[in-house]
Amino acid sequence: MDRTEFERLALEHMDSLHRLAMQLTRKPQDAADLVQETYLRAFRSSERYEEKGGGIRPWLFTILYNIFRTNLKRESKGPMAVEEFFEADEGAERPDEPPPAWDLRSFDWDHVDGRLKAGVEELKPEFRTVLMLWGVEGLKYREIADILDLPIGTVMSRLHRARKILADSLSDLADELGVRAGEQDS
Amino acid sequence: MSSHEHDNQNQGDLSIAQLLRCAADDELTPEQHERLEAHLAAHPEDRQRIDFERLMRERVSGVMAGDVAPASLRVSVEKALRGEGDAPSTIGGDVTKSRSFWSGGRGLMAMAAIVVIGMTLSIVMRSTLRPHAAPEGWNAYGVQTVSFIEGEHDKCAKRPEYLQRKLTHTEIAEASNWAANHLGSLPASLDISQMGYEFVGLGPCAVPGDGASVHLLYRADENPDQMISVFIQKASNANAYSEDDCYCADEASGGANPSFIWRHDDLVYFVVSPDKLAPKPVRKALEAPGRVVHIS
Repeated sequence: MDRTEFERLALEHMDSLHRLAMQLTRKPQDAADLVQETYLRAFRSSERYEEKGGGIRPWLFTILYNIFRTNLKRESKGPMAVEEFFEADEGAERPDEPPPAWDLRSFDWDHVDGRLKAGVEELKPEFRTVLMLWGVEGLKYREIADILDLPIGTVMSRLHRARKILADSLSDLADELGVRAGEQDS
Repeated sequence: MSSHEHDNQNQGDLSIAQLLRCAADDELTPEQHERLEAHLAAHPEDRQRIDFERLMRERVSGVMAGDVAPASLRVSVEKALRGEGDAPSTIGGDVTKSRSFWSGGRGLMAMAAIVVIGMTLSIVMRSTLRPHAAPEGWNAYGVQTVSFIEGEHDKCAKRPEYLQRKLTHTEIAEASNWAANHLGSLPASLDISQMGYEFVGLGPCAVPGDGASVHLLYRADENPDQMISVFIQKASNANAYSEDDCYCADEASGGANPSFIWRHDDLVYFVVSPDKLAPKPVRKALEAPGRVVHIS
């Protein structure tokens, strides 16, 4: 792939990279710096890029995340900050969850987004990152695992727990709105 | 046990809730799919849970999608990439500032140098160019700007590989849309074919100053060797030219070729016209003021 084509393909994904960078850093300036550094490194490593069927985006995500992780470790005052981000307790085997008890047919989803957004903001960063790669970027579990250098089971665990937390917050909203009409427990 | 085996074991041990979520995500193995079918046969009401999970994904996507990358970031990245190779665009412009958090690396050192140059140029511009005044005392910034746009014009006009790499938008309608998005507003009609100039291409550029900018190249129908360049930059306080005059910079003001500069709405136009091309109809098509002020 020539340089022009590589550059064109890479720049198409700037919005996605910026989104991930914002999720990770939470600061616009740091996100911009992270995206820029990602492109510089990708550009320097372009000869090593091999198309494996998923396009260039996962490769760019991987570079971005590695830079973030390296910088976070470098900037960390002590081991705990990094530890908290990367080694969050994934939990052991948990009992099955009850299904959402409210009646979807009567639920006004237009009321949901605000609560959902607040719920997302309250998630731990490692949950939020997985959730974004899954929900917004539409990546498969395996792709997320490769990008974040995690076992696929960890990705699934984080994703399920994040969704459970969000579903619970919506269940609370359903209670507040009085739409818990159906008794659907199985 | 390898991590892969561990993964597979985890997937095999899915709870019902996890199984339903994996089903919603189309991530089930054949074995898990069989297990799901058996579960749904006994609990058909759980199909609704799968629907719910799909709906959740849509809503999560909606609330997390956020804004697109800022235009300034796009410009700075494109500049940085071009600065990595044999490319233009390394003077001036709104480059993302380097910070200690991301310190390290030659690329960022180079970017820091660009920032310093850009800030210096910006200060010079603010101190010398005033609205509703000809750019008196055509200063270092003016000379630098003219030099830059002429240099870019020459490279694109004379080096096909450079042109191909820089001006990647070659279809006029698509290029116009891209420019409008990049600049944040819609420029004047970029199609000047009726004036005898065929559109060659458009790409991002780094005209000195604060605003994003683009470079367009046209070829004269009568003589394919004759080309004119149009640079369009988002106006800012630094280049707040009067909208009443079209400034002409020529040999006397530091340029090897005549360059026309004017402002219309919130965009500043620069036209490089070797051999005294860019006749009045072309400037008019690009909404230049009729009165030309020669900069001395």
